[in-house]
Amino acid sequence: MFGEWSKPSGAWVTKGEVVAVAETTKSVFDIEAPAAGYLTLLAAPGAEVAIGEVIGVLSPTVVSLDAVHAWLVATATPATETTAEPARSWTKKAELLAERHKVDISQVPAAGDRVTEADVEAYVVARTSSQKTARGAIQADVNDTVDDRYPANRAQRLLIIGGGNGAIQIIDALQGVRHQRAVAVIDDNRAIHGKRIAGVPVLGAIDLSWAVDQHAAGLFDAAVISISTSIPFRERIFDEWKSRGIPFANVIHPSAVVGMNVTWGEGNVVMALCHFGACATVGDNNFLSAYCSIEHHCVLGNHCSFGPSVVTSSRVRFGDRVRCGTGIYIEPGVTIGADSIIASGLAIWQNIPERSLLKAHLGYSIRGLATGTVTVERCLRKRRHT
Amino acid sequence: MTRATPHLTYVESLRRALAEIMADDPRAVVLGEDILDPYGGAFKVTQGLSTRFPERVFATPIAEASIVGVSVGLALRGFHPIAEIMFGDFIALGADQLINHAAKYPAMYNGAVQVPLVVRTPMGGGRGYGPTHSQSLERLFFGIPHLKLIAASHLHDAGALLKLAAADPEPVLFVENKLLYPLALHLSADGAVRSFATTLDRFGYPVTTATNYPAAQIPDVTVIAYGGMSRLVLPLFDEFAGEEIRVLACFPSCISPLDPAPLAEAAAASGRVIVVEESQTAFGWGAEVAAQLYAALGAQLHAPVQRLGAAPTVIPAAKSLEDQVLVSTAVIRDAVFELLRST
Repeated sequence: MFGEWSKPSGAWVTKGEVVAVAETTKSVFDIEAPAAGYLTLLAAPGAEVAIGEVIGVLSPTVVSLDAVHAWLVATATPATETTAEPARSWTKKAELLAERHKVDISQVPAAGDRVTEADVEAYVVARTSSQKTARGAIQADVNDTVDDRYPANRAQRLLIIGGGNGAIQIIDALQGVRHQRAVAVIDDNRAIHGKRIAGVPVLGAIDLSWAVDQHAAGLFDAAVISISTSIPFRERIFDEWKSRGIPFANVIHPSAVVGMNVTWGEGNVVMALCHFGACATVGDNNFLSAYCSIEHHCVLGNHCSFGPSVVTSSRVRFGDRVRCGTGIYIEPGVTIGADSIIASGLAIWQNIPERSLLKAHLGYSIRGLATGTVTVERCLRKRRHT
Repeated sequence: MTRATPHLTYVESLRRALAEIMADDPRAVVLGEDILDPYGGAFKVTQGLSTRFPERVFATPIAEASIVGVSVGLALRGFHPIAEIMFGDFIALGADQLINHAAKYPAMYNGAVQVPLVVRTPMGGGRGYGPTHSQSLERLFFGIPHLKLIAASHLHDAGALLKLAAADPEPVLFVENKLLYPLALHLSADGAVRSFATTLDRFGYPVTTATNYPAAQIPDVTVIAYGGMSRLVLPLFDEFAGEEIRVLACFPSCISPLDPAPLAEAAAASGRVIVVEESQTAFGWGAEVAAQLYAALGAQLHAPVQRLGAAPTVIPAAKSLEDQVLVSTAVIRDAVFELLRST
């Protein structure tokens, strides 16, 4: 608040002389003349004045009040507006969306007066579809009433490498989980390009540089390898893609049981009803078929591929690239060396050196049954006669 | 809660509530510095009170520790004291009485005593009051067990909130905001506010959610803030509506302890959260909100929770410098843009 003048209007004042008193809520202070001159009073005693408001004028000669007002008007600086943005023919939201999608907004046609959010989204969809005809691209999540509310990045979007039976198993497993979903499959088999696997589009051949672009564009979050039959293939793809910054996902069937403190690498595929005991450690890029049981404190290396029902007791250690058939039992504490192959139906009670091939010698014979109705009695009778 | 007349100002709402509390509750007493008429308190919240209730309104010496200490004693002996600390900066002098006495007694004496005490105080800067009259020192009291921090924004019925605090059996630090005092309360969907809702948190205090878009739409961003920050957030409503940016603002009134459920619901609606507090962000309220939201929502959040607040320094008296230190509408606007640009 302006207090009062200590000098009359028209008085000559020297620099630093007290000319007025003002007060704020907490204090009263003197206003000193910033220069010498003849004083013209503008603010009324007791008036509320704003910061920056002119309360009086010092002039080198005595001037009339009208002249002072004219001078004030002439020299008034226009109120500084908030730094004016250049005129734009789009909404701010449209601009931000365009930046997010790396789209030049000046290229986006407007349906109405200004380019809107909907215009940018339509433009992005059109651009994505044209890319798809060129090479096959993962569909962006736009214009979807569900995905607008629950965008894809709330569920990890997976690119499945390999479009065979492994892919079907992975897609089947993903149908039971809510935190991941498959957005595309890639496979070198041209016959399935453009088709779908359980609703997931097969976009083309396995192409790392394409995938790097798609990942950079935010169209998928992680990859997973569905091929279990070739361990060298799994290892090569995993290492090459990882080196280019593509993350790998663990796909774990919802019926699997995972104990406490299990440590996971990435890129593992775990099918139905598998079990991981407490404190087990799983490396990277392993493929475990149904009913495998990796007991507590076991350690699994990388790039292993197991058939159904590989069952271990505790503290078993697997090296890298171990291949197991179906129905294998392994005793506690056994170490299976890297690059070993274990045939189906074995029970293993000793440490296995690296690069071992374990073959089964449990033979069995097959005989054809006689035609006609087969009964238990007839089989037993037949056995007695032989 | 009763809805206030739309045009009641924040200070008028509090003033009326104080008078009604005094009229309804013969054990209510009000004490503080310079609160007697004709001055009626530095911010005029108590204006008229000493004229109407001369025997229960007390002017005190400039001694905040004793104001709070005497109030604790009054509360222990069956009164319902409402103390005013003229500037929240000086609540530090009453901290020992609040933390080590008021908040602890009921538990220390196994429920044999209660301390139904309200300490009202204005916090916040923006008026060029300088380093020792501009702070938001409620930050010192976050997380003190059995001490409630209630902050009224102008999207709350401030007077009704004060009545809730006065009826609370636990001690309450009631945080007002200097720049809100002259503002009209905004308590319904009108103007740029397209939807307005109030729910109660698990402590029985109101949480206001307001949007700048019709209720059926999905927000782009959720702004969670309290108290005086409503002054900065509300101007964005109108501006953003014209730019297709849908903002949901959520203002809890019980800011410590904190019920995360209503905040998580507001945050999940957009998945992008900005927490605004007037004080510095480090070790602040926004950090607690963010931690609670991560625990409740995890991957439902599209982006890390953004915290906005004052620069980590003293608050200058010069207005131009103060503006650079304190959070502003412009800072919030830029944070919203950045969040929408990247996610």
